[in-house]
Amino acid sequence: MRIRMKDAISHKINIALSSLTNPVFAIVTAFIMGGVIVALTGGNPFQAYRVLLTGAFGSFSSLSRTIRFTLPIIMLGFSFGISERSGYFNIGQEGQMYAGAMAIVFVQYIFGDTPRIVLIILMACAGILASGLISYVPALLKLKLSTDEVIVSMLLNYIMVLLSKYLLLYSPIAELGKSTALSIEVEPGISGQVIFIFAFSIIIIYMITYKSSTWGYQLRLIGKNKDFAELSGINVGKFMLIIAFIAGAFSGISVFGEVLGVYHRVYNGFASNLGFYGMTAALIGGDSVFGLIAGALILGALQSGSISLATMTNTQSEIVLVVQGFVMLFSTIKIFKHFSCFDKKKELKKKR
Amino acid sequence: MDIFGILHSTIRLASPIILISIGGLFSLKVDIFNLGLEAFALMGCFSAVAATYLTKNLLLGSTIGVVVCVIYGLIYSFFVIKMKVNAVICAVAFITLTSGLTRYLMQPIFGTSGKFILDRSFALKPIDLGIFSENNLIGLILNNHTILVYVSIVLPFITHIFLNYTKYGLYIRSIGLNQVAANAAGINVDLWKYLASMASGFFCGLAGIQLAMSMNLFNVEMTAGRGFTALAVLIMTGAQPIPTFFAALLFGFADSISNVLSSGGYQPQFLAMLPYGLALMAVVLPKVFRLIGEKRKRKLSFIRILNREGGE
Repeated sequence: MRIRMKDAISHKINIALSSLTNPVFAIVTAFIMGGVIVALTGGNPFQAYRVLLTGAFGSFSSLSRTIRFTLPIIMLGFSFGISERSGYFNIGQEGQMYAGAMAIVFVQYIFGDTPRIVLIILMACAGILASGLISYVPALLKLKLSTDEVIVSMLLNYIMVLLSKYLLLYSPIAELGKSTALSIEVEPGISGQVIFIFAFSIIIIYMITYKSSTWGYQLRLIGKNKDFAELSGINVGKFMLIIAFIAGAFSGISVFGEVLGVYHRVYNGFASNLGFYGMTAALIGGDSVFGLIAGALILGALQSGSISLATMTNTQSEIVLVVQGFVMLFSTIKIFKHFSCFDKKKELKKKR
Repeated sequence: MDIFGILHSTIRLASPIILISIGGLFSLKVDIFNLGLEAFALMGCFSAVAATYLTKNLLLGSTIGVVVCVIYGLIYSFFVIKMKVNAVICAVAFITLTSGLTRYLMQPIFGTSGKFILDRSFALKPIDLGIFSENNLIGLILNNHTILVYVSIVLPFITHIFLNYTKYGLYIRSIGLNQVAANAAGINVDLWKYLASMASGFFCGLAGIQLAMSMNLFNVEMTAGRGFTALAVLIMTGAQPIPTFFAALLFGFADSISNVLSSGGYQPQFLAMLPYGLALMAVVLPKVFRLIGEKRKRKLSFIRILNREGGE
């Protein structure tokens, strides 16, 4: 009996430790690998990382820039996190963001004369709806035809990028007299503070819903064991469809913030690679929301710091992408499990 | 419009897709879902151009490019098999990593960013096949291609023979069908998985060389979704080499048509969508047909039952 108690406690400690060791290991290893690559190409990794750090947290303006980069990543991380748990692998976030952005610009074009508040609400609805629908299609195809949602959404990404490029060049939403792909100006801007409060309240709502509501419970149940969830009366397929739409809606929220809060225009390629940032943050976080936010903060800091990297050092800012790739690669390795396996093997050898 | 020109460029544009999809076929056959084909091919492009630029020798550079891709495949399979990383996450990580590495390394190696054009003398030369060079149908379509195009035409048939008529092909197929049984039959499953993944890297490397060296340039994101297209081809054909060859030709045709039409003044964005839309159809339509077929079968059997009951 006592041994069992001990086992249970050590198991819990194991879980807690592994949930902390995995992301820390992933991030540290990724930074080391990135540093090695910088050193091999004739740069100074310590200087590069110092510039990254001061560029991200050095002053008030850089800190606020870091938060500005972090908020969309958190939203995209939610988008990936919930859909992954429901059994739908949402990597089409780039396409979803382009769809949302196009919808927002179209609202500006059609309803440009309505009062500001109405316009903003319309834009939010349109962006969320468009992004949600683009996310809904692969999920529906997966449910009805059992196609692979990963390949469908990757192909949809390419199609959406090309479609938005076309719309930004030739449709009425394109800026007149420009040869590059650029939209008309989206007039109602939102200040950074409002967006911060908005995002913060979404995070709180998400956490409460995820931890202590029936929906959140069902989602966690499906994530842990799909068959059990099906047997306990949850319609897993229907749930997946709803979650797919909500996941797209999160992408829509992030693009709403980006367009109205930062760019005020949509240009071609504004969301390139941003979708994978959300995925990386969700992978760092694993099950915990705080982990996801911490991961998003690290990625946001990388992005924000990389702006001054190319001017201050001879290191290219693209090193950030390399580090991100390494983080993704290492983040799902259960390093603690591997080590404990080694321990067990050693013990077995000793016993022999 | 010159129909022979279109068919000629169809074969030229299809060859990277054929090579990539044969690479993906090997990893699919051993039950590794390889979304990272895109990354492998991009790495092949970059390393071949970089190595050729540094060594000033096309053959040596191409060999290094292929070796890098084989190592890439090995690392990928190590993470998937030994470290138990989810194959899709691993693939997306590889895509991000490769995209970052190729962008980052352009400055230290070439001293430019975005696009790098090699000296023309390093380009992969088209070969003049003596027999076909007369002005006939075969000559116009099949002559004057690079060596890798000819390799890609022959390769699916060799792969078919390898998989179906040799001992090692049987090993690979049996691993795909049932790993446990293959293991029990005395096949070293992990070894063959590594080997198949290395083969996957090898063929993607060849595709990268064909893409980059036939135009003697490297461009950021120059693979442009060909890895995903190849995967869609594989899903459509159920990973069989010879149907894969013909499906890839279809995609080459779509590419070629969109090239011709965009120079004819049509919207280039919509035409560029054509291969992706076709790939999407390739994934979705077979399933739709299967669903309809099943429904009809069910209906027929239902009618048959009704008839039988009516007859009694």
